[in-house]
Amino acid sequence: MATNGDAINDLEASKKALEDQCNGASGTTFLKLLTSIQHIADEVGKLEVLTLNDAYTPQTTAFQNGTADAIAFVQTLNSLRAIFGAVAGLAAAVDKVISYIK
Amino acid sequence: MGPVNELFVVAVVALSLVGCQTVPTGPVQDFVSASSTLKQAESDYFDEIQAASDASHVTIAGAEYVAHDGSFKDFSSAFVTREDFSKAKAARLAALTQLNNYAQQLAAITAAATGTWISDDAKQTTSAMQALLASGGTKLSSAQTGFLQSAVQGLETAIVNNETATELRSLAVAARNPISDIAKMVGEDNENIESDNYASGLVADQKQALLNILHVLYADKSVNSAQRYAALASWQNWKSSLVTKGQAIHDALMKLEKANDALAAKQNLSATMLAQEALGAAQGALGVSQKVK
Repeated sequence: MATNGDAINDLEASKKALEDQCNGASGTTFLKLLTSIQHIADEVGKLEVLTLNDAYTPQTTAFQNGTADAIAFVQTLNSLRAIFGAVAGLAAAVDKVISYIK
Repeated sequence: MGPVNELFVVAVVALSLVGCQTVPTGPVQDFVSASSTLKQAESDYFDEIQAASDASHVTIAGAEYVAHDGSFKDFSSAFVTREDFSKAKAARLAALTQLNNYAQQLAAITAAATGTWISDDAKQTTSAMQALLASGGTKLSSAQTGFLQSAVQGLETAIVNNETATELRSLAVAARNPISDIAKMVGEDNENIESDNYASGLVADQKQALLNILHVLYADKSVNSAQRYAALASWQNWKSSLVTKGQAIHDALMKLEKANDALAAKQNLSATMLAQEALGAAQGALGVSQKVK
């Protein structure tokens, strides 16, 4: 099976040939070249789509885990907020919050 | 040492903790921005590929039509032929949507960690403390009250900052692998689409097909001067469908990696500076000049 690069090289070669033929070329030759380019261009497009569809795409599990961790931590922050809000005196607050730093 | 002085010693320690860690708000914002830019650029990239591919098919088939080459059945088949890049696009956007969701949660963390609730809590706690001391016959001056409030806020900030920075660093370290996977995907796409000249080939196809049309009209003796001129005028207004987002994707990926590296890095310098500032503020509030460790 030709690679994209092979097909594109063929296409480029045909275009060059077409340019050469266009200067005073007969209508028949010109039309044959047009058809040839059409077929090659089709082939390149199919190859490209096939390649991209099958190309490596990253697994997203790691980001899903990271997202879950981040959501959990926002809840931790909210817990901290509740704890801070509930502390009635500075001495008690100091004991409580220092235990979180350690 | 009286209860008020004991409180102030605790308060000084509290203030000195403020600078232990800071919330890396800037890198998080950069990360969110880069992830959003990357997803948009990737979406635009495949839209451009689709548009350029479609335009290439239409113009090539159009050139065939003008040249009156082959049967109409063949032409009509070629004219409606389209390559479908939607599956490839969907696969990439699915990965980048996960990245965006993750980035949004990082933003939610910094928003929660830097809200006004900490200073609000500090005021409430200080008021409670003031009432407690007043009931025991001790009255705080307004300067002492302000200092205590700063100390409480400093403690809460120290805790939240420390927890937040630690968590963000941990997340950033874990995110390196999936970000590396995205970089690999971008690299492979670049290889398939641009390094093999596919994108530039689509533009060349369009240009060549239009020149072919002009050539046929030029050579056809039945086409008069006005018709040839009309075709030339149309060609002058024509613009090829380009694939230009490759560089934008590369730039966004670089920014994403840089922001993630900044999140994963330690912040020793800024922490030290802030700790010194906190210590200075505490000393100034107490009216002492000796170093407090």
